[in-house]
Amino acid sequence: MKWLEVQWGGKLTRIPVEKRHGKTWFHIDGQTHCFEPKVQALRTDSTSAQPGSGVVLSPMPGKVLKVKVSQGEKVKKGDVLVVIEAMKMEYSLETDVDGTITDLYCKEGEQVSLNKKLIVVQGESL
Amino acid sequence: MRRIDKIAIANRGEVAVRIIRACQELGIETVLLHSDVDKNTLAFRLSDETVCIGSAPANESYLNIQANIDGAISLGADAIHPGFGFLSENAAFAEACEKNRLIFIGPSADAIRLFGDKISAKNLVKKAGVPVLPGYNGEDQSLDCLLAQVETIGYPAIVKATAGGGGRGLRIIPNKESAKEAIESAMREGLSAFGSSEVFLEKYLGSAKHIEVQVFVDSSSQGFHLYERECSVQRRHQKIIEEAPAQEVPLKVKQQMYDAAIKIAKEAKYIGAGTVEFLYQDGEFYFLEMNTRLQVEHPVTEMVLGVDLVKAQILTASEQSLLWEKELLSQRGHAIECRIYAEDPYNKGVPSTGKLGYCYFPNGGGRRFEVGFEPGDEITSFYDSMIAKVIVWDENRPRAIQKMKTTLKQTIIFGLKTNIPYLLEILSHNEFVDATMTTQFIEKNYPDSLKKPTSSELESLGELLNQSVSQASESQPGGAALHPSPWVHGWEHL
Repeated sequence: MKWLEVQWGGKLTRIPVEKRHGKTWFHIDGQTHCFEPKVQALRTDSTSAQPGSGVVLSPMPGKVLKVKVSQGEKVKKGDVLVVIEAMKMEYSLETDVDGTITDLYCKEGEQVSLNKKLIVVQGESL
Repeated sequence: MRRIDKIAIANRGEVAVRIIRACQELGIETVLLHSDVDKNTLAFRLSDETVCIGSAPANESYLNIQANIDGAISLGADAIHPGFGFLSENAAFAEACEKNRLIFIGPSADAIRLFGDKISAKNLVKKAGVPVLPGYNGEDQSLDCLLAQVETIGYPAIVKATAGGGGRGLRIIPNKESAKEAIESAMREGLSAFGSSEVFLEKYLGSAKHIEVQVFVDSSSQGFHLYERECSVQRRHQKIIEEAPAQEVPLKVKQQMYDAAIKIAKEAKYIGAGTVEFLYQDGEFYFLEMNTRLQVEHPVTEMVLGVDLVKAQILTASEQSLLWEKELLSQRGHAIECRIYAEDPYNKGVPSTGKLGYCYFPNGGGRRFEVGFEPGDEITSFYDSMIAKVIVWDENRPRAIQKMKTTLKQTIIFGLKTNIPYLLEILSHNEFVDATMTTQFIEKNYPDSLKKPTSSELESLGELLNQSVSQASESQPGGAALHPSPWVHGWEHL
């Protein structure tokens, strides 16, 4: 951690700043912020989990408890696709598009890492 | 008197630290029973001795009865303190301790079993003349039977894993359509978290407050009620903010709750610390459950009463008397506890794992920090994501809220996202400020993630700090010296 002086809201303020794993953490005005520089062309996979892309990534490291859909199944926005368990809590992952399950990359009982691609839903409009 | 010179701690994180400090003050040595990944935590560094009892997954270490017993015996401990969670409410563990001549710091195995089984607990409570909620807790666990029972109880209902606690293995059933899914999910979660898929059903109150009474029975069977705590601010039935005393509950009703709690403890021949949880709605209260252990939120009781519950537990286990006098035990001022979880408040509260960076807890009068980790320690997905508790005391509730807000704003945790922004939102919410919140508070007011505060100024500041932090010189010890900063002038536009 380092203290840096910045001009903020018309005043000179001394704030704690720490760079960790490429992110910059700082605390100002009673709030902690984490600045993540925009990364360019880091993804090797062309399909990223953009909202509406139909690609479901694991939001946390955990265990796949249930896979509630199968290949070729039609799903509607809001349907639960996968249930993940982390820290003894269950999290339901939903699809944010209507469409068809084209790829399943996980099975029940499997440990998955953060951002692991779990399921691809081919949107209806495509 | 039973002599206790060395206590083994079958737990981790902040509660392990809390117990170690109590032992140090009593001149008792400690043995930390830990999993392999927890070598890198504060409790490991503070404990006199340590034993690794297994690998990271809880059922291979913290939930493994034999491993805990073996670890405690190997270093000659006289007693085991189970903390909360893990084996703290496991009757078989309490029994195994006694069998191996280890003092279990908690109630008897019989009492744990009695209250651990929601059916026998309710029967005992009814016998003591205390109201319970309509529900089903029968042996027939077939889906057909459970669905039929939910119909009888009516909606909304709630399904809970019989062996559950801490918000796990629990689902609300708003209507008939969702009943099957909710019951199956609760059974699954119960099986994975507690090893049993057995569930029970209950009527679900729509706007109840969660009020609990702390009881303590000393080694001479003298029963104390240590007044109440309110824990209505819950998310998925996990408490987030707790306080004492409760507001908006008439004194007369509070007195009835104290009497009921003492009656229940007496009826069960209970010894040690326990908490009787009630739901309170429209002047009526109902027994929810009795927790046969120390509670996460015990510090708020300690702050308003001026007692030390962990030391009281240890003294009671060694059959020594307490210093308490009933007439002198009274609530003074107001205490609030906020649980700090490593999670992303801007993304559905998803757990944040990894190593802690710089941390700062702004100490001051009436502020207390229960922290289990230090910079460099890793928060893993194997365990609960609570990293610290902040407790404040002040002369009345508005001041305590103000103190908590000030304290949280000055608290710094780098490296992991925390729920502090979320806590600050809650502390400023009208319903919290006027103390009318119910257990529905979070669901009703915060159905979605918080909106991340962004502004072009913040973005520019982040960008500038990101570029310049690597070139800045290291911080002085204590951060006393201001840095002549070459960037200041370039930042005038901020």
